[in-house]
Amino acid sequence: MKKMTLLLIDDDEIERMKFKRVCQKNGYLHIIKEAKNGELALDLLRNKESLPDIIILDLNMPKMNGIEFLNILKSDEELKYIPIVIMSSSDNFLDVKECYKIGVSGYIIKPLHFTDYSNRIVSLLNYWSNNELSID
Amino acid sequence: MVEKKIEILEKKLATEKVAREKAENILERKALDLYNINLELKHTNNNLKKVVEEKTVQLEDVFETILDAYILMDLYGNVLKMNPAAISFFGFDSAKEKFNVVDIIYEEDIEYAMTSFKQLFEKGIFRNFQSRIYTKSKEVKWVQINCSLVYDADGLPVFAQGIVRDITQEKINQEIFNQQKRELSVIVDNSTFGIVLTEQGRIIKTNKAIQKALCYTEEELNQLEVNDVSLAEDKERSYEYMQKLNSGEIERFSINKRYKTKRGKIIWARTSVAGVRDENGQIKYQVALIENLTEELKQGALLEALNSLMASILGKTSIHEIAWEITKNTIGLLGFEDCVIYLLNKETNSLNQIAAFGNLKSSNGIVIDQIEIPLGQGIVGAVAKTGIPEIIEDTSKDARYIVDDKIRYSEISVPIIAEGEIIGVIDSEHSSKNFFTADHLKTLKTIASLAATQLKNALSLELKQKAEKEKEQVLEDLTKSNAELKDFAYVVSHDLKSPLRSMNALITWMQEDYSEFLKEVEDTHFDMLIKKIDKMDHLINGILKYASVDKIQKQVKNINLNIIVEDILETIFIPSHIKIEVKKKLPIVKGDKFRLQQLFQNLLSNAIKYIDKDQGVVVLDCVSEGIYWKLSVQDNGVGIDEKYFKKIFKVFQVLDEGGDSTGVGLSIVKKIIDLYKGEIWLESSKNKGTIFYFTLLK
Repeated sequence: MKKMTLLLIDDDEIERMKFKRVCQKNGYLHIIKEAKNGELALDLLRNKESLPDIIILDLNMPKMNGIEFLNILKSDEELKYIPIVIMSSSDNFLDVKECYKIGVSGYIIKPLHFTDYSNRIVSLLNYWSNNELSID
Repeated sequence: MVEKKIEILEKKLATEKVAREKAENILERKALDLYNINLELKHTNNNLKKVVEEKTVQLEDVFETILDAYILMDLYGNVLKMNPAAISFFGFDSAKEKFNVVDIIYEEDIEYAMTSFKQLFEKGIFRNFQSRIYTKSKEVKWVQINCSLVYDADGLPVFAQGIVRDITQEKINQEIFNQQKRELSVIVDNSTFGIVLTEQGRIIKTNKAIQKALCYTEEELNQLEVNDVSLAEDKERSYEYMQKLNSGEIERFSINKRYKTKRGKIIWARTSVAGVRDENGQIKYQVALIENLTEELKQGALLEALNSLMASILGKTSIHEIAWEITKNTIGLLGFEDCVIYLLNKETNSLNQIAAFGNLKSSNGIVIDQIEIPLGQGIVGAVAKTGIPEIIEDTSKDARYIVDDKIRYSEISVPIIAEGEIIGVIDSEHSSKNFFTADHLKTLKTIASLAATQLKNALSLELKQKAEKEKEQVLEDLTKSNAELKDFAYVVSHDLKSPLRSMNALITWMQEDYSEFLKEVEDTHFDMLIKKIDKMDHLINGILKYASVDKIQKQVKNINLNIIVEDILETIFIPSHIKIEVKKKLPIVKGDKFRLQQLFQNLLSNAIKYIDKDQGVVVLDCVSEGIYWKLSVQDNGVGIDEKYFKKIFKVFQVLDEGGDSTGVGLSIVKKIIDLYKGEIWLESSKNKGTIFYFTLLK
């Protein structure tokens, strides 16, 4: 399994903890960068130290929400190729549709139970590290 | 010179001699002529005598055969001779008795008769003596006598002769005619029509009405011509008609023309002219009947003003604009001091001023300090209540009078009635008593009826616009609340659920991380915590579902309930011991597919959920009832106590403690049934089962 750099954008600290715990519990060595909102994420990305292999993005966030962030990212020539997976509590079909329209690689609805969450993240990470990123 | 003188004398002498001889000859001849003439005269005299005798005989014959009565009398009136007609007329016969005409003259006419006799003796003749006489049978007769004297050879009057005509009938006719003439002149004189007799444009005779109308005396008018009292502008038209009348093309004509009074005032009059023809068929006179139209034209002017009032309010849709226009025009039209329109507000049962023109209380279309009058109060309130117009001659004597900005002493108040319904009042006050007349009332009523139609239309338009505005507002509110609801749903799903997710994660981690330190009992506490989180999640989902039932206007289509039910039965979990039975083919109803799905899904799941028997049966049935379909879902489950029948339809009302029910299902069902204007009720007996009935419009 490849070691990936992931950018996790979520205002909820526990959500970020959940993600890190799944990686840790499953022995993944991926580098996980965190941002509390879109603005901070953009700062991080434009620092250009290193771009993440994948961005995991929440939609409902203060200051700059997920959709706004997506739009900015997709209009940025250098950043628009970074694959994005939405991780949102919204099961609103309109949100899902809009995200795919702008261009995302996946949409996960946050489940209530942590075990369910864990399972989904594991399969996601396995999928990405084994397939998409093999180009690298 | 002497010789010459002698010669002249000799010549003279000779001439004289010749002349004498000539004279002698003439004398001889003349004497002979005289003799001859004498002879001739004798002869002629004889002839003449003969002729006279003949003529006399002839005259006697004529005398006898004259149809009119003929009498010959001496100069004292003694009748000497009379013809048969005279005998039969007078009843006397002069041949048989003494008959003197003076004796038979009617007493009152004696003086006149004497005068006439005197005239006869002076002039030798009188004509057309008309008098009454008595016949022998004492009958009074009217006679006309033409009389002349008969003279003797010396030129002295000897007899009087007269022709007598009986004119009694003529006199009677004349009397009748005079009577009629008098009557006619009374009619003519008292006619309200002006009557004028003209001859070739000259005024011959006029009646009082036209004298009065033109302000001339009869004598003055008789000096004038028609043109003198007519307006030059109308002459041409009159002239044309006159030509046609004179030529016989028309018998009469009628035109509206103007007359000029003595004082120079112009009056309009309808003039009807007819020709009076003489025996040759030529127009001799014209009779003109003149009808003063000024009053009528005043009515016409009023009508025109009303029409213009109508036109001024016709395009207007605002009641205020219409009311202002009406009040303004009414003042101008009737010379009122003010005019106010009140509209009846049915909600408050009071009258509100919507327009007030002419008084100090209004300016530029705004009623300042507008008063509100309760129905039945004051004069305006009373009129609005009774619908009967009123004129108050003296407001100080009317207890109902309400002082507005200042006391005015008379008032007129007319209800505005549209389609039999009193919608308001038009009212005017005047500073002096007894100002308003019946004519004012009549006109104001007309204005009120015009106003009624317009105001009614404007009112309904205003109501319609208001309703539309309200509808728009509701729609806007609805859109807004829908948007809010969406936000709400979002908030609920995100903001309420995310702490739950966090709690779940944290509890899970605690269980994982500290399992070795936790006792079994505490572990179950964690499980209970997790369950409560699940329950909370269910509730949140329930709220979302309940809220979303009427969230947006769904599409209404024909929905086949059989397909809906089939779909549901395929998707929901049905334990193997429960049998679902659809008794009859279900109808097709109008509705939204999603809502109907929610309806049946909730009812069916509910029925399945509460079956505690080994063999469960759920029966779906349907019957037609009037305009509704009555559907029922029957189960053989635990049943519901009757005291909870109402409660179960309320949101979050859960009857079984500790179960996984959220208390949302039946409230969603109720909400959907309500939306479709149906009804839902149930029959149930504890432990035997429940039947839910509900109706859907066909």
